[in-house]
Amino acid sequence: MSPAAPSQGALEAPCLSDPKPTAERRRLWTSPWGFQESFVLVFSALGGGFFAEWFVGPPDLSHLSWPYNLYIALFLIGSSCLCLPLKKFRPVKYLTSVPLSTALIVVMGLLTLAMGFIPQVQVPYQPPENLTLLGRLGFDHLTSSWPFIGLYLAILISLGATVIVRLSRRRAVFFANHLGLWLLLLAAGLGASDRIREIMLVPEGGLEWRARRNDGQIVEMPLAIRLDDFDIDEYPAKLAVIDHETGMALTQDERLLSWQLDPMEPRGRLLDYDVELLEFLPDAVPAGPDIFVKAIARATVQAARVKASNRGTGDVFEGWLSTGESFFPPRPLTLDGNRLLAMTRPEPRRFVSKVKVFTREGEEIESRIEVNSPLKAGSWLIYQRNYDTEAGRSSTWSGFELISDPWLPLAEAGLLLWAAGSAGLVIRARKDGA
Amino acid sequence: MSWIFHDYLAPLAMLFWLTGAVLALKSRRRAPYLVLAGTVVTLIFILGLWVRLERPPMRTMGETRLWYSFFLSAAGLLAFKRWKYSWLLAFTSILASVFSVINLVKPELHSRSLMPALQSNYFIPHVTLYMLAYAVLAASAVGAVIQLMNLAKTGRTDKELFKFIDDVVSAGLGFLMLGLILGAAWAKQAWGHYWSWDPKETWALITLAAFLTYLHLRRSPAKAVNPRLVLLTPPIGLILLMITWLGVSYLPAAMSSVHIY
Ligand code: HEM
Repeated sequence: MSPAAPSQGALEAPCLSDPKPTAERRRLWTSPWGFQESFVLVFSALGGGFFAEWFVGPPDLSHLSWPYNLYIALFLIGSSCLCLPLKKFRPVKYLTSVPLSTALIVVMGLLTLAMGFIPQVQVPYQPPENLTLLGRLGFDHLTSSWPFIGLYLAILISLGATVIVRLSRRRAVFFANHLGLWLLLLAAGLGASDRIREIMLVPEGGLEWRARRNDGQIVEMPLAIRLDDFDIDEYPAKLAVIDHETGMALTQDERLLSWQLDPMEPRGRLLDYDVELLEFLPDAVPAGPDIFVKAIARATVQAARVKASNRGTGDVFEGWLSTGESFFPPRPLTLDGNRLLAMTRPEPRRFVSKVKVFTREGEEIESRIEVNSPLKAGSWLIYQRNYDTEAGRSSTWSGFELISDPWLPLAEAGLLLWAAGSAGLVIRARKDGA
Repeated sequence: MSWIFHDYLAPLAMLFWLTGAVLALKSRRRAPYLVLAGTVVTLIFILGLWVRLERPPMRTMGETRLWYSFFLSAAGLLAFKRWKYSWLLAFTSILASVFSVINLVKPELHSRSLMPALQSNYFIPHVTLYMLAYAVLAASAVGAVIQLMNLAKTGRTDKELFKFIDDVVSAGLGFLMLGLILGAAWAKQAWGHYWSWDPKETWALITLAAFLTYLHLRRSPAKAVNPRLVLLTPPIGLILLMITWLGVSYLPAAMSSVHIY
């Protein structure tokens, strides 16, 4: 697998931590250390982490913000570089060996596995007696627990040293993967305390510069957003059959049964009814007891003329239905057997805020923000978050998420390198096989 | 072409695949052509569905299963072309059929709507790479099981087969990581952060760790580690991968995942 030794099967490839290939079992802790020692070591360190978590509580990461995380990053880079002249030195050899790195990867995998089964909560700032056993050990907030953070640092140290010590032009794939991952881990972990995420709700036509936190606290932001317009584009609604008495939609096998209104496929089936879409108006207003007309107005609804025939009895029901909106209640169609045919709340296809952003530096940006296309303003990224879903298309406000992450460029560099390394693995596998 | 066609095209593809698998196990020369026919039928259905839905059919579980069947049989064919392992061709064809059967007996609510966060240029490559990785890594797990059987029978491993497993894990892991990285870039664009320990992300990382373990164990000298242990990692990885793909929705930790559909 290695370009340095293309003809060798990997099992035969030499390794710096090659233990003496003796037939009898080797004794533990004879140098150089192998897999047994590595797992004992990593698990013991992990045990120490759980011990600390139990007796000291979760680490206080608030001290880790700028510039202290930078100092740690510089220390990590410096100590990795220091490994280069010391690479013949036994501890450095061990630090960059396959057994240790495998043990680190496996144990990180196991911790992540625990995270995959145990629902995670925010760091609990509560007295330990309120916590469950697992909680006290850190299992319900693993990413901010001593064992996890210790393992993270161990991986950073080992990975950093490995990259530097094994630096060689012939090992581009190895280098891209490991350096990329290292940069990403550094930026994602150490940068976490510098990441800011605030939520701002802006009324249509209004200007807002304050963000509101979950706990109700209000903070002033270094930029202001004016919402000039907010638009929602919806998919056609679905039809569902509702029990008149309970007001609940009928289900089958515990799933909501619904039929997508779709002018391209006007005929279909819903429960015991054959349904047919006769007419569909995406923007309509009621113009009488049983008539809807197309309209261009602030408040419109989706309306459809539908025919439903009960396949058992042959009874036919036909009429207009509509979605609801603040001015108009939703309109269902009455069927037999105490049932109603109704339109569900339409799903949004797109929602767009037309905004003008003013930064403290005097910059003014006019732009549109929508899901998947945030706006960059200075060191901030502004994301379209939500709107008044109760009001739907007549929502009068738009919610934004403002995010600042000074470590992002480093993370992006890491992701790019790692992607190059991943592509390298694919290409190399193809070449080797040919 | 809507899902109604699936009721006819899926059995047709399965017919091709399963006869192909039987012929492959009997080492008949015609086997790959039959498998190819099944693959083409599946591709035609996928493309027809794409045109009909006016969006890539990658949103629902049923839709991703279509792609998985397609990539699995395609990967089996490509691997067969290079390594001539007929058990691999048979296996991938049978597994592709299994996923077609699931789609036949468990038709899901198929909706045309695609929520705004999913409308992204990252959507197609992200899902495609994952399905590709899943297909290729499944092949590595079968290879590892066959190798384990060799070991049990003869006490020795087949060097060529190890080469195959190494290459397939390498390529599959490459696809898996590319899918993950594109997912991270997409998450940054849609939700503001590239990693948020969403349950699906957590499980993707677990899967990654399993196959990384294989890769790194193979870098160590033969005497240092029991080959059985090394060969167990791809099947374990495949199980974790299936949990990531199909099982996460059912876990208590997944109540708030953005990947539930
Ligand atoms: C994205 C994750 C990773 C990938 C894709 C990856 C991939 C690889 C590959 C392909 C090799 C073989 C190198 C070659 O022959 O050119 C390798 C070796 C190695 N990796 Fe990783 N690795 C990853 C993560 C890690 C981590 C987290 C560590 C340490 C904690 C690590 C430590 C090592 C070591 C020590 C070697 C042996 C180098 C040697 O044989 O000279 N790797 N890795």
